[in-house]
Amino acid sequence: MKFGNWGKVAVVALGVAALSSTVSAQDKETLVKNRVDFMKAAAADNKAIGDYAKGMATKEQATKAINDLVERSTKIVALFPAGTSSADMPGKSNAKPDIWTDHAKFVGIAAALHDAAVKEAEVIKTGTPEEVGTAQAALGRTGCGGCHGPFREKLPG
Amino acid sequence: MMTRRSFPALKLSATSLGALVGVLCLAGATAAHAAGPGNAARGAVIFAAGDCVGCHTDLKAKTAPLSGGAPMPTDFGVFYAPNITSDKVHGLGAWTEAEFKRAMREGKGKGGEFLYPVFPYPAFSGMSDQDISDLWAFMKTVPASNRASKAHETKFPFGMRPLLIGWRVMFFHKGPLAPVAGKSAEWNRGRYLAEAVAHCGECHSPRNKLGGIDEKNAYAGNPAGPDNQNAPNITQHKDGIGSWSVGEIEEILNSGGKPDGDYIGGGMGLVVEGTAKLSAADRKAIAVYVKSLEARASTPKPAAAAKKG
Repeated sequence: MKFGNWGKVAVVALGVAALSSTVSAQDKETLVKNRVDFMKAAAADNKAIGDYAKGMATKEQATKAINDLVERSTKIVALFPAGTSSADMPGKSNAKPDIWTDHAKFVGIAAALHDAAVKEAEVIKTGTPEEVGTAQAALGRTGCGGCHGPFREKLPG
Repeated sequence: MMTRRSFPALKLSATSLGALVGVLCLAGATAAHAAGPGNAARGAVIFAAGDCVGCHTDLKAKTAPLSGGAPMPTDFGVFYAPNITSDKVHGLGAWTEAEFKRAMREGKGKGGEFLYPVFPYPAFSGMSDQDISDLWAFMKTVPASNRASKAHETKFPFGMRPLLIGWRVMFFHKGPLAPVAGKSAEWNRGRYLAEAVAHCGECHSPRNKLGGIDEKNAYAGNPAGPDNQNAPNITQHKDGIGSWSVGEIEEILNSGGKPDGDYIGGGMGLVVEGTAKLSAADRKAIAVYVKSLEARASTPKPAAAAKKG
């Protein structure tokens, strides 16, 4: 059986639903910590691609980064099981409860990020660094920023 | 990066700009000049760069665009940005261009009443006549929505608008913004866009108890920014963005990307949707201006300030 991009995201989302009921408080803290580390690694991928667009990194580095980002984009939804919002874990989680109240939007942005990352991988293969910069700006604005806007809040302190 | 209102402790719920890109190399737009007929295409860019949507649309409630914003809790009450669609009853449809200009330039409503400075007219007052005319031309194209604007829920005595005259005397300086002699055209353009159109200082500056901008600490951040989120220090201080290059500031205005590869969220995400519609030259001008902001230590968080006494 072959899944499309949406299919991958949907499968992962179903997995999350199953997971959410069995996550203990301690597990949740570990999960949130891992989630933050996961996002920092994705940011490092973004930086490497941005650096390539500016002539400060190699094409190999950019290729490695986009491949990692494509893979990560399929795992995002699974990192947000119910019970790990900022309301559930004040001061520890910066995930707005809106992720779960407007879950279709959240899943849709994750899918859009995946699609943008797949397209960007092609641009890195065949395009100029400038074109990569344009693709990365679009990916960041709609994929990363598109989610951080409505669904991420700043932690106090 | 930029906020919007002149009242402190704002907690906005939906606080968040190519084909038009070239046109915002607009009209020189650093000072008043004879305004020609409004151009809706140019006005669309001004509209985006001013992040009008952020306040005037309740994105969370998914109401019609510009048909009125989400509640904005402040120390002075809860405010609601009104319907600014072209609806003749509930929006701006029955307004004249002169009335619209007066609202932007002087902070007065259709009947001449004082508007609350939660509407950032102190910043918009700095705009050129041409840009306001262009914006008005665009506003007339906004589809009408008959959604009624919600009345503000002000705390006593702030419901009495004539009292605002005191606030205006203390904190309002009528524009348009005049260019600073001795500074480059690029810097002046950036200052105009940042100070007047995008009104960056409205969110990124701390407020005094009366809701006026603490000018001595302008741009040093506002821990009680929109959505009760911290609007960070954007001065050249080490706690601000002193380590960022002009190019890195341009990038955040283009894509929302930070130097570390993260992408901004919150209300600034919406702001970036607008600044992304500016020309690259205009984003660079803003960056050049922001890069010139005096280094100022970050505004202390309320709890820390209270401890300090």
